[in-house]
Formats: sequence, C-alpha cells, structure tokens
Amino acid sequence: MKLKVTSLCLPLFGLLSILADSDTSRVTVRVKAIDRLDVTDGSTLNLDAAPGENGIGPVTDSTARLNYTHNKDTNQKIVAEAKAGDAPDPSSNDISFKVSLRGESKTLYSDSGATGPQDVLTGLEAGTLTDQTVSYTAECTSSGTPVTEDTDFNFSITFTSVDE
Amino acid sequence: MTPFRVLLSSAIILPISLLLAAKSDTGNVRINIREVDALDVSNPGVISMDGVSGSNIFNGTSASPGKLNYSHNGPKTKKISAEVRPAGNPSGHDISLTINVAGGAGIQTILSNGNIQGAKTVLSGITPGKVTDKDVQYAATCTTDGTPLDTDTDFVIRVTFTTTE
Repeated sequence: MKLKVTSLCLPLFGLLSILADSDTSRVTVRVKAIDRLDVTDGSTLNLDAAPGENGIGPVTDSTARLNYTHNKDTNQKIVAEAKAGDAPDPSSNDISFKVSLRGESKTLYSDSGATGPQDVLTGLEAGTLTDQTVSYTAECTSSGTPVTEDTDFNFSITFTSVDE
Repeated sequence: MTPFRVLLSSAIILPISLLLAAKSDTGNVRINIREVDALDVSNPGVISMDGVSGSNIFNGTSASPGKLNYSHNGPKTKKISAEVRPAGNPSGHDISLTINVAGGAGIQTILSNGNIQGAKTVLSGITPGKVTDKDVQYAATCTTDGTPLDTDTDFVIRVTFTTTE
C-alpha cells in the first residue's frame, strides 16, 4: 500500500515542476469615463457707431477657443447659455449677442433678453474637439442702447455637454 | 620479562584489533537535485487612465510595478517572454500595453490598439541562479473613440510569462 502512494506522488511532483516555469500576471487598466469641456474667454467687443448710422456693429471677436473630449457610448451635444451681468442691466437696451461654432450661429441674447440654452454643437461621437474657434458677435442701435459714457456690459456664457 | 609473558600479551591484543575493524562500514548517500525552473510575477498596481479636454489620447502607467522572481539551475541560459493570450484580452477597447522589466530587453509592446502582439522577450541571458525582485513596469494608452464607455471601467489584461532556453 505504501508503495502505491509513493508512485502516485512522484508523477505529481513532476507535473508541478513543469508548471512552475510559467506564471500569469493580472494587469488592470482602469479607463475613466470622461467628459471634459474647456472654453477660454473672449476679448471685449467694442461697439462703435459711424456718423449718420443708428446701427452699431455687428462686431465679431474670435479669440475664444473650445476644447472638448468625451469617451461615452452616447453621442453628446454642447449647449450654450448667456447670462447678463448684474450691472449695468442690458435688458433695458437692444444689445443682440450671438455665438458661432463651426459655421453655426445661435442667438444667446436679444432685445427680449436671454434666449435660454441653445445647441451649438451636436452629434459629437466619442473623441475630441481641439482648438475650435468660438466667435461672438454683438450689435445694437444708438437709439436702443443709449449710454452717457463708454459702458461695459458683461455676459457670462455657460457651455454644457449633455447626452443627445 | 620471560618469553612466556610476551607471547601471552600478543595473544590478548590481536583479538581486540579484529573487533575494532569489524565496526567500520561504508554508507551510500543519494542526493537528488531537482531541476528548478520557478517563475513568479506579481500583479502591478492599477493603471489609471484619464483624459484632458481637447486630447483624444489617454495615458497611464502602473501605480506600482509588479515584481519578478525567478530561479533556475539548468545547464543553459534562460530567457523569459511575456505575452497576452486571447483569453487574457478583454474586448471593447483599443488599449496598447507595453511592458518593461528592469535590466531586461527594454520597452516591449504586447498589445497594440487592442491587438495581441505575440510573445516578446523581456529578460534574457539568465545564467543558473536567481533573479530577485525585478521591477515589471507597465504603461498603457488608448483613445476616447476607440474605448467608449459610460462609467469608469476596469479592463483586466492577463500577461503570461514563460521561461525558455
């Protein structure tokens, strides 16, 4: 009986010896779900009138840049919404304000105030947008926007990425 | 001393010498040295891949290296190769994975855009003896459009190390 046990063990040791020359290591690659949007500030839009003209502008600034990356399964879109600064309040004048990206222009602010969120980029599959030019255009009239001195009206534009 | 006494002493000493000689023997000892070829590679820390706005590329390196320990007593030098086998490669990604064993063959690509690259030698010219605590560093890249996902996702890739002559 003892002999039988021994002869069973020897082949097992032999097998273990063969298996010992290989090993497997687990490498965990953790990919984060990302949705990163970055938009730089634009420059000041200087609206000035020519003699004999009631219309002021339009004036366009194209210094802002948009960078965006997402890796979601779902297509994304980017919406933009303007909010006027507290003072001076532009709602009592006729400033009109547009944003343009990739040739698509959307009005964010008009005589009647902010237009609410506007789709400015749509159909964005997983990937990246790099250094996209963001153009802002503003205009008003002398009669609709009277000021006693050079006056800055401030707007903040919020860009948001959402599932399409 | 008389001649009789001398003869008597010899008669007593001789049997004692014979008895001493009978206590000597030769034993046999068998020393069995097993063929050793023992490899152990530990898991590295997680490779965390994050992106930035405006870039399609994710990059990451393992938070801590794996450790390679190896012993062999073969007559020839050995080498160690690493590979990702089909069963160890999850689907749905375009991850590229490189491996670099300290003091070894340098950076080797074992996955490229999600595709298996076959066995790559990572350490060679290993003479009989031991290799202790060699750092095994991994680095990975992927793209946002090639590895789409909705939540943080772990891709567990199994790397198989094999010793050969």
